Amino acid sequence: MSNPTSNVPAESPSDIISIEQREEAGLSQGQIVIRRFVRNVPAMVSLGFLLFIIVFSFSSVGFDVFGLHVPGWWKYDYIHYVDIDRPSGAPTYDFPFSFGNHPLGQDDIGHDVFAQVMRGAQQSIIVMFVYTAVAGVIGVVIGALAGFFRGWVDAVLMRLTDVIIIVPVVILGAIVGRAFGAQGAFVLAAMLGIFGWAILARLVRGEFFSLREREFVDAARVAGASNARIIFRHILPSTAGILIVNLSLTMSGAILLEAALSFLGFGINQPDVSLGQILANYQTSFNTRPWLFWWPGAILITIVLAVNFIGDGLRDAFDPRQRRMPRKAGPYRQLASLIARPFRRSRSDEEITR
Amino acid sequence: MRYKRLVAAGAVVLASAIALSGCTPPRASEIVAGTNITVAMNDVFSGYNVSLTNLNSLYNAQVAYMAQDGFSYYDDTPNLVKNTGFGTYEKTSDDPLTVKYTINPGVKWSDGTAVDAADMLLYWAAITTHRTNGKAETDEDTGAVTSQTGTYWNTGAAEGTGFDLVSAVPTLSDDNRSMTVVYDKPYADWELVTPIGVSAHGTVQMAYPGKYDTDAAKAKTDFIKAVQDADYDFLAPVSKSYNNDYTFNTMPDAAHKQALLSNYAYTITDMKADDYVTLTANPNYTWGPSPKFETITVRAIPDSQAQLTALQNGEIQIAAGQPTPDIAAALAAGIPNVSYVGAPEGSFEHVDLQVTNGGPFDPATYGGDAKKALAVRKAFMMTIPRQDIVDKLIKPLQNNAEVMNSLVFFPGTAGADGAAAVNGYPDLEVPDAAGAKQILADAGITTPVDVRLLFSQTNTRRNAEYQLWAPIAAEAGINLINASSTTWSGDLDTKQTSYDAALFAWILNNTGRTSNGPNYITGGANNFYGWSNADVDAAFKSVDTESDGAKADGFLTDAEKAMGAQYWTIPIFQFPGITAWDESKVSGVTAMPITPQYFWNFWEWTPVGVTASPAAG
Amino acid sequence: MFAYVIRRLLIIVLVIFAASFLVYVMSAISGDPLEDLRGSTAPNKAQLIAAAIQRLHLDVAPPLRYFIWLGGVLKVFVGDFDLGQTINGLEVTTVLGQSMWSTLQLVTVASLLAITFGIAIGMISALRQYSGFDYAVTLVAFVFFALPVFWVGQLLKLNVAIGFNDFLQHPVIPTVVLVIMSIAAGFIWASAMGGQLRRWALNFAGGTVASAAVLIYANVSNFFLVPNLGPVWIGIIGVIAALVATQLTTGLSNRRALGAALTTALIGAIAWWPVQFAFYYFPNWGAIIGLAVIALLVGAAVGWLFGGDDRRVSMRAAMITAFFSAGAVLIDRIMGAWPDLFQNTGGRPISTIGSETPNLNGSIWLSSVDSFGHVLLPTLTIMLISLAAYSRYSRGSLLEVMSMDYVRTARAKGLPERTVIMRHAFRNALIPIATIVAFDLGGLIGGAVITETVFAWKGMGRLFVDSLRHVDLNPIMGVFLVTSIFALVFNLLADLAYTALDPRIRVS
Repeated sequence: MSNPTSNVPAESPSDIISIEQREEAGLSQGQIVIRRFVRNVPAMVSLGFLLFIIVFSFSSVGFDVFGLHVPGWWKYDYIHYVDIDRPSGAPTYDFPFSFGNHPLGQDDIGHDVFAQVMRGAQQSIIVMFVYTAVAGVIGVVIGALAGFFRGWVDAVLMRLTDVIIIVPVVILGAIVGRAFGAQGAFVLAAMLGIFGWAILARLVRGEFFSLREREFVDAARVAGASNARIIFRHILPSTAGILIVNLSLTMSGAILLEAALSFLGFGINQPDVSLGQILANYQTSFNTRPWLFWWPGAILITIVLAVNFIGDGLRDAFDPRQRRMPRKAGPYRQLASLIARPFRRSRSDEEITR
Repeated sequence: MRYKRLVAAGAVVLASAIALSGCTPPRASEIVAGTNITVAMNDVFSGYNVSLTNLNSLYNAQVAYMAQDGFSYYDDTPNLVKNTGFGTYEKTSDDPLTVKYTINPGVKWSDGTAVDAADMLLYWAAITTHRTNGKAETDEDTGAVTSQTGTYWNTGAAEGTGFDLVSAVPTLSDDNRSMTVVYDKPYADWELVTPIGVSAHGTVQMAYPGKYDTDAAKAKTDFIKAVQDADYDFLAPVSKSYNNDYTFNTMPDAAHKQALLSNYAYTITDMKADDYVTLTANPNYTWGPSPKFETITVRAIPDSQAQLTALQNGEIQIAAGQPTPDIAAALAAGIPNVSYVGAPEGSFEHVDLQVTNGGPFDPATYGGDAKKALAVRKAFMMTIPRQDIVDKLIKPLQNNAEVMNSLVFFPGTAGADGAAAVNGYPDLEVPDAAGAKQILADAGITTPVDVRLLFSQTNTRRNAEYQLWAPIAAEAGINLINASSTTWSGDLDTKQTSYDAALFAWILNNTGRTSNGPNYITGGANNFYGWSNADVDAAFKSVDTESDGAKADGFLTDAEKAMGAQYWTIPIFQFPGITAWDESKVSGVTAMPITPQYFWNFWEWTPVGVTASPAAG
Repeated sequence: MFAYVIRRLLIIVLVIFAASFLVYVMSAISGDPLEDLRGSTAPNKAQLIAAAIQRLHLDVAPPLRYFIWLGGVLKVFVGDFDLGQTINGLEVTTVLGQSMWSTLQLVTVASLLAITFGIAIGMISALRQYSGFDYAVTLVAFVFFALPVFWVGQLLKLNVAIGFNDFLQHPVIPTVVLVIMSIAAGFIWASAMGGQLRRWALNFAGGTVASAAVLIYANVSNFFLVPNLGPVWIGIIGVIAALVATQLTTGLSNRRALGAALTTALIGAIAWWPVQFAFYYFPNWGAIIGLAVIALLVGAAVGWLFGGDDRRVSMRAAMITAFFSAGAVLIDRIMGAWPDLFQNTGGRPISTIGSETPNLNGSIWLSSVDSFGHVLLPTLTIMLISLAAYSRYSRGSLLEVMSMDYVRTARAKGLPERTVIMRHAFRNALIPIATIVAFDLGGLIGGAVITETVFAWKGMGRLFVDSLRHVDLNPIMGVFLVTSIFALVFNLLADLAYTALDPRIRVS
């Protein structure tokens, strides 16, 4: 690593060890992960953005918890409509600081789009977390048990997985959505999650299949570790990479599944809204009423993007064999180096492509 | 580009003219050779015999409309127009009601066989219960009507209603072109019966493979005799063929090619399941207005936005359906070459009140005080922002939309105006919350009154209607509770205690007078609300047995008046519809609210940009 | 192995039974099949409802009704396969038979393309980890992954289809667009190839000039109206295929392999002429398959002749080249039908609805190019999103493998980087991808459900959505059967691929 600006793998193993020892000596696994994650700029930006959206969406229009309504700071809510301010509900925002009553516009009958989008973001976020929590827990447990114990446990669990997995997600989702779409985001997401764990379970099982044959498992067993300990302390962390990438895909997949179901008419029901539902309702509006099309779309896409970047950052951070950490560089430097990168190739890079 | 195509089209016309002149005698066809048009309908074609219960869809009817002629059709008002090119019908007696149908000479099926009384007799045998001795023994496993016993026609015929009132075998004229039917008792909608459908000889030929293949005349005579003698042994296979052989969505095989027989302007010549049906001009057709396009392809495209895009992309030339605000806005903003017209569709939105469920509109709630219940109903209806609903939700979609003010007459017809003059609905267009509050107070009702409104939870527009309505109801002291449900349609008649008022739409696809009764009479099939009023019952009863149209309309107006006084139910609007077409390819397209919608004047669709020199054929 | 496959198949049958029960009962309780009838004002409504109840056995509780349905399915063993009827009385077997193929066609084409490009892009970006290319691919993949399918479909439909058809009215690429496109292509090419400044600049210049040349040629030759490749372009494509195939399999330093591949490319260009006659006299799929087989045999033979010590390597390179050359010849012929299609669609060949132009009775070439015009946008829609996912998976997978000890060992042994990647890393990186691809078929079918709705295809997806809306159980179950069997077969293949790729996994 003589060239400090180089981002490419080091050439000799001894270099790597020395670097890692130098930067992470004396740190626990968790500390290393956090440290690596914090240095991943896209992931941190995404995390900040996601937290911001969560706080913003819940605080702006308020929310209900256990039948109790917590009011928000925005003057409109997503249910009630008011008279339409501008023709066909155009946004009242004027550059630069005149927000007006409806900065993001209004729909056909006068609902405030900002309130709708915020409520939609809440619902999509709820769907995302609830779905992933339900699907993740079931998937990891079933996959781990099946992959570790093999034999009849595996046979039974995998047949169960097959039962779920052979039904395409949208088909199961549409049926579930038709039955539970009326009961709100939480119930819908939980019910969808009950049928959404199968792919995760098979992936985890596949990883366990490979990993349990590996030396470190034998070592742990010889050292007298219990099965539970081997599963959860030894093997599971090694699957963290694929698990986390997958969970992040599951999270974004949950939002997109709900959007797809809304498009087919089997998602969250009126008068409640989700981003997918608004997007599906106004998918053809972008020529005539773009504010109904771009705002929910932009929020939905950025949430999904953020989740994926966070997942990606976690993957990099968790990887125990990660050879280098993303450089600690500000966004401008990164951008600059990104542009300048082709002019700063190192010799070793060429070796790969030769 | 355009010039080249014109030249090419002209060359085709010329070439075919030269090739065909001298083959057949010239006739007054206005078909422009080589022209074709692709038009959209909203769902798929599933079969050709639209009398069957399983094929009785708007979409099958739209295709069949261009291939099966009849004694009358609806114009765009919609008014019933006599189709004198095909044949004539006249009422020859009022008591007993007797109608004589005559098919013009020269009217032929596409295989050359004459269209005659045998075909009308098949209609009678199939649509009534008088030539049925079997049952639709549905096969336990398939559920199909294949293993029926005896003679059974799957047309949903109900004893003693409609055409079934003709219980005596119709008499046929000697030349076999006329049929006379005698009704057991007067029937108001006798004019809507047009006794012609699929061909008799074709059905018989398919029922007896090989036996009548070359002798259509014998098939007809044997069939007529079997019907007259009630020869169920002969009729059983015929009914089986009638039930099954016309259900297809791909081209029938050679053994069933008779299933495609046409007696009108076009013949089905190609189709792909769930996608399109292509009809080609029927060279035998000479007895009515000539269509202009040589082929018409009807594509099934359910989504109106997809239809519009396809129209824009030149894949189809006519699109029709319920618009979204964006479709309406895009059309209003102007799309190159696309013309459109807004016209209402047949369905209409309305509110019905429960009067026997122990709720706020039930006299029993007030100790049997009918006046109090009536006052609550009246106050409730005064809160419906009907004009506002139309302005906010319907006009953006169809700018000439109006509040609907008659339940039983089709808007725009003379009867509708007459009914609106007496039923009181025009006074309820704009809500009057203060007035409603006053009425409740005068009647001594303790407010707030809880009213549970049932409507479809997944229907965006009804949710919006509820939202427009609820605040005004609240002002009047009525708490309008959202009781929307995804199973609302079943709940209507199975969970009557779960709602007090229902907001939904009835489908109106003909102008029949007798079809209204079951919605409103005591114990009627669609009266889920316990409505019962002697005047209403009497008026509808008179309608059923009045064969004079004007008098029947008078009774219907009486019924509307009586219903209006009860404040049971109120119409709001007709569903908006838009018909759009590519004006660079076709002209002469007009919208029409009921079956078969814009297809009604297909013969007037005219190719644009092609030299309209008629092909001498 | 054989016993394993048999046992898996038996289990599959049981699994399908269990899953079908689940789907049946769940769809049955999801709504009321008589909803439409209840809203009707038909005078004989009561009879219609009674008839529907009888026909569809609605008086039987769903769990028991399932067995009535199952009875029909099981009759497959006595040669009377029966999936019941739709609410409208059509046989489900017929309806399904008609809609099945367009969906499977869509899904197969889209998944093959997505797998190929997804894995290629993902692996390249893994090899250039943290390069500009990697970041760009990551960002683009994430953006695609974040897009709802119906939204992409709608955008493609409204912009690409109509826009491209409008473009075809004056089919000349404007100079500005041409320059921008060429520079972009050069940039992508240079970034993907990597290397130091000098090499990067060379790649950039080469890519830009080559793209510009192709685009200018397209303009000059009126390619968009009368597209064709002809022997020259087939030769060029063959040479490119030869270079890439050799580079990837053995490296360009293997002169024998390179010679074999280039010779095959030359033969391909020459064969264009005689093959035109074959196509003229045998315009059918038999000729196409025959062409493919002959091409592979020719490739094998050339490779054998050039072979020398390591015949297998030369044969492989030559066969890959032959495959692409033959593909170019076939595409050239199909392109020949484009003007015909242009005429038939009124100058608007890219379609927004359906899977074929109605009443287009033409040669196999015309129907192929027509399918292309219809399949293009739906396939793109499904593909873009799957492609994004595959590229992420394969990138992650290859990175994982590249940090393994055995890769380090291979490097330490002094093996050339290409051998390390192609032989050690690539193979192992494919293991998790094999699983994901099998699962993803389910997802693709789901994507097809939505895409078919957007593009008004009459496929299984459309059938399913319509049926579910009306709680029409029999067609729902029919769709389920086809898709589930499809997915299970691919899962089985994935399991077998597992064992083929990873010898440590024992199949028993």
